[in-house]
Amino acid sequence: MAQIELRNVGLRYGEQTVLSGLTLNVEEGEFLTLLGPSGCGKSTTLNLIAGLLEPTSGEVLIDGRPMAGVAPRDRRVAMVFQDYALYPHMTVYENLSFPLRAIKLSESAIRDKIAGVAQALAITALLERLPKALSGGQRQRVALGRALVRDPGVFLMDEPLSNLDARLRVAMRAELKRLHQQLCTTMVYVTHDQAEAMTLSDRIAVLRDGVLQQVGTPREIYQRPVNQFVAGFIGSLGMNFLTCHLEQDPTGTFLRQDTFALRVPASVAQRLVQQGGDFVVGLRPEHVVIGEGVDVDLRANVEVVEYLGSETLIHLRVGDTVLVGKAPAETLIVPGQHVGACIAHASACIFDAANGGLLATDTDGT
Amino acid sequence: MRAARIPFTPYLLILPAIVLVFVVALYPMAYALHLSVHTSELMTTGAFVGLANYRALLSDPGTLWSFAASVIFVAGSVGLAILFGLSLALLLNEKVRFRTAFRASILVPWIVSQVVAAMVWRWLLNADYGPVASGLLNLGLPRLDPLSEPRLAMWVLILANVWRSVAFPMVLLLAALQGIPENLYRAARVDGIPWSMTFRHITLPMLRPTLLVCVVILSLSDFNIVALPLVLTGGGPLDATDLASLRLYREAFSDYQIGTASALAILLFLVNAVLTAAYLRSMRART
Ligand SMILES: Nc1ncnc2c1ncn2[C@@H]1O[C@H](COP(=O)(O)OP(=O)(O)OP(=O)(O)O)[C@@H](O)[C@H]1O
Ligand SMILES: [Mg+2]
Repeated sequence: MAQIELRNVGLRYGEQTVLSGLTLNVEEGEFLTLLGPSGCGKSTTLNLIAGLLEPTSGEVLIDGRPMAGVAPRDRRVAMVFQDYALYPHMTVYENLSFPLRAIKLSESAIRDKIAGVAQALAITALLERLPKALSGGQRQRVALGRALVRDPGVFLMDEPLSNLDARLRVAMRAELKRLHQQLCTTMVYVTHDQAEAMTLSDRIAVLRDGVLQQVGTPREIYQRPVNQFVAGFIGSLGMNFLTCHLEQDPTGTFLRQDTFALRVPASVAQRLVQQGGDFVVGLRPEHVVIGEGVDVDLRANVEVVEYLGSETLIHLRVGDTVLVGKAPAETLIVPGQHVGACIAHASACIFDAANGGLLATDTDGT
Repeated sequence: MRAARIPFTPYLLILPAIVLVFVVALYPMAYALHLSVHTSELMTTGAFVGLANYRALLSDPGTLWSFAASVIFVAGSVGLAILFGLSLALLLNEKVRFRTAFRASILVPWIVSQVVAAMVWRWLLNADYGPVASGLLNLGLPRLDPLSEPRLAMWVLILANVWRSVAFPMVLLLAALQGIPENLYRAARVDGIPWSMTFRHITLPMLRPTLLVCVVILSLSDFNIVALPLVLTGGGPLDATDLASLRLYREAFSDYQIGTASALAILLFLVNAVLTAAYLRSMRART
């Protein structure tokens, strides 16, 4: 097991800055996920930890030791590549034994080790096959196996599930989680799939254009995203954003757009008034509950209805934006209908319209 | 009516190709076979003699030596061309400076004609005014005349041929090297595989199909080479470089022994056929 520290790490290719000022700690035994859109520098970060790239500024430490000039092989890291990087002309057994032969382990020790790993990953029957004769999921397990046989201090995984179909991905996700719980090895996992990040991680680090946006537990990131980018990236449907202006009347302070209004508690209201300008209210779809009742906050026209089986998504037209809400699966709402919606005020996020930063989540008044 | 016409159209369309193949390949081959079993009398075909031409050829130690010389020449040329070609490809695959200029300079010998290449080498190695000989003389070393030294002439011929043909394996192998996924090397680095093991167990196996193709194509062209040995050594000194292809040329075009030449051509054709079959096999293994 190992602990990793990135201190103000930056990487440039000539004029192009790929990573800047990245400071990040990965604790011993932790499962940390790097999450972000394509091209944001996730693989680059992984390569920096593995030693396949050297940072142009800042430093990488493993177990407190600066890694500058330390070759990948001396970092005790194992990496699973996005395309698995299995040696195509070697059988599964040869693939698994290759790193062990490099450290001149005896044939019998190699055989025992591979037998153990193959059993754990259920690939014993595949040992004599070539990679091209394996399915995607089997290849992925072999790639994992090649990392496992080395007893590394850190596992680095670059989107290992992205080549699999949706169902297999969910199965392998659980498999990975089980494996981590069993081994307790430090794990740095790269993905652009927020669902993977949410389900697997102890903590998530969200990157955008080479800049770290937020690090936190899945819960923290889901409930208190530091800015609109993180809010929109996390959650299977992203967050609804409504640009609102502040309105005060004798009954209280409101953030309003068209028929939408969010009552702001006094403590928050004061700060918003001081700040001035426009604000963006962020609401997750599950916090916009469609249905009639006494506490309807909003009435709007239905534009699109998406039936998902377990529930129904309703797209409402509010002013110049679309607000996605949820309704029970059995509701019979049709496009064009005028419906009511309940807003879970306590869960709304308020962002600065100018820079997208989080100003408050309604409940805590911070 | 329409239905009846359709089957003819495809044959009509490939007719030009068939005619072309027949005229430039099949007919000359059949004609050579015909000539090889007849005597030749000054530009006309003489009497049928069965396998006499072949028997005469195969009982002539000169012919047997020609084939042996060809084998030595082909083995030496192909081996060295691939060795140098692979080394150059590995070098150019790294981010060396002046890469483009370097690559172009290796391609030059490939595009100059064999005759020009031979002339250049004759001049370079000329014992009286060539730069190599005078350089050696200036260093106080003895006069060197490799082209009139039976033991050295074959090496000169091989070297000149390697110089001329090394670009071919280099280009092919460079393309193959660049086709090896970078991640295989990254994985090897992370796994702590030493350089020599990476080369032996990753690079070479990944290049194997291309290496095979290079061996077969180079062998084919080297077996049939005429212009380079004709101009560089003319088969001499003392038949030291009298390749089968060269002998064929001489039999046909300076001795006008069309019958024997044709028999020799048929023998060379058999060698080529074997090499081509090997080539097709290696291509199939590749996919
Ligand atoms: N050798 C290079 N030269 C210049 N720019 C590069 C180089 N390698 C990567 N980049 C740039 O660095 C940025 C980050 O690349 P990186 O591979 O880390 O992205 P990523 O987050 O892993 O994306 P993906 O999800 O698509 O794999 C990209 O914009 C890419 O264009
Ligand atoms: Mg990547």
